[in-house]
Amino acid sequence: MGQENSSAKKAKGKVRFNIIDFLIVIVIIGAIVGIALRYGLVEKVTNQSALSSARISFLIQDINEDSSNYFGIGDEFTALDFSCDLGELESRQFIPAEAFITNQYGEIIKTHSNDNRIDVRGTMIGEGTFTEDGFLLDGLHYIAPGTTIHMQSANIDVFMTVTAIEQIEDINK
Amino acid sequence: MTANKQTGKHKFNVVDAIIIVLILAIVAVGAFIFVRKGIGGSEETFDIEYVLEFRNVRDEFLGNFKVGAKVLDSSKKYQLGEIISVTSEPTTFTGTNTIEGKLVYHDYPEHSDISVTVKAKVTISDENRYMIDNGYRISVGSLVYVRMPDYIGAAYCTNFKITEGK
Repeated sequence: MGQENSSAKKAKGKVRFNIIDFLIVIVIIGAIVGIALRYGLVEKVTNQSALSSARISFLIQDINEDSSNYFGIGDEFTALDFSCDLGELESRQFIPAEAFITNQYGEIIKTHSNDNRIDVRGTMIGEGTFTEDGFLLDGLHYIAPGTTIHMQSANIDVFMTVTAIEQIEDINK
Repeated sequence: MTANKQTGKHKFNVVDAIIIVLILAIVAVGAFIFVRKGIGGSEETFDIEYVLEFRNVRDEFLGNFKVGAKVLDSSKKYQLGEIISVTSEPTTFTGTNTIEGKLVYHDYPEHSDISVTVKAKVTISDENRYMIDNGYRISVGSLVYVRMPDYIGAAYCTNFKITEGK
């Protein structure tokens, strides 16, 4: 009898699509669209197709002098906060760490550390999108002078402050 | 059961009811998230000017504050207005003259306080608060995390006035 019923069903060959099925499909499509928007997948596809090269100038303050051995020209850095490539180190300059002290008269004076602490100023070449609202690193993440970025290479892990961003001719890697 | 299958009618059952309730709940949440900005409050808009003060900014960033730049809230990207003027003065450091036992005031080397005047439009919320872009409450004392094309930082709102509309 069971075989007769399933045969009858197959013989009909029609799948009835009702309103419940329609609503479920709408919700699934909405969920897919929502996930795409939430994770910037649409922006990622459109912005990443228009990436330009950028020179990102930075300042790292008050680190151990020995750390200077770990900034190699050409080292690749990633931005940990954004989980994306930051750029390749183009130049770096090591200077004694600036320090501000007050004297007995209450005056504040700028000086430099003589306690094996340094500041690092440098530039790196990265990629992003220049828009009228600012620069988007990797086409997705807004950065500008003043931004603090936790950056990491194979050798070192530091916090830096962006001091300038300029568009340069595209460099083919 | 065989008779029901043969007539092709779908019986509405508890599972269908649960699915419908879930779908309606999702739609309601979605509507709440995306539509609530425009719900409630006064429809009337006022022009305002308010001042944001960035304190103790390195002088190398002085040129990054530009008249005409659009100001956005860093976290939720509310449009906070447009800069119409920029002024700066050296950051004041309060020190202690330990010899004379008094407070003294000096300029903090290579650092400035930067004040930008921003013009924007506001509406008034149900709670009688000034709201920019239908979602960002502004008042004197607000700490604003600001994003501009050439600078990102935090500033306090130190001045606020309605210029037109009230």
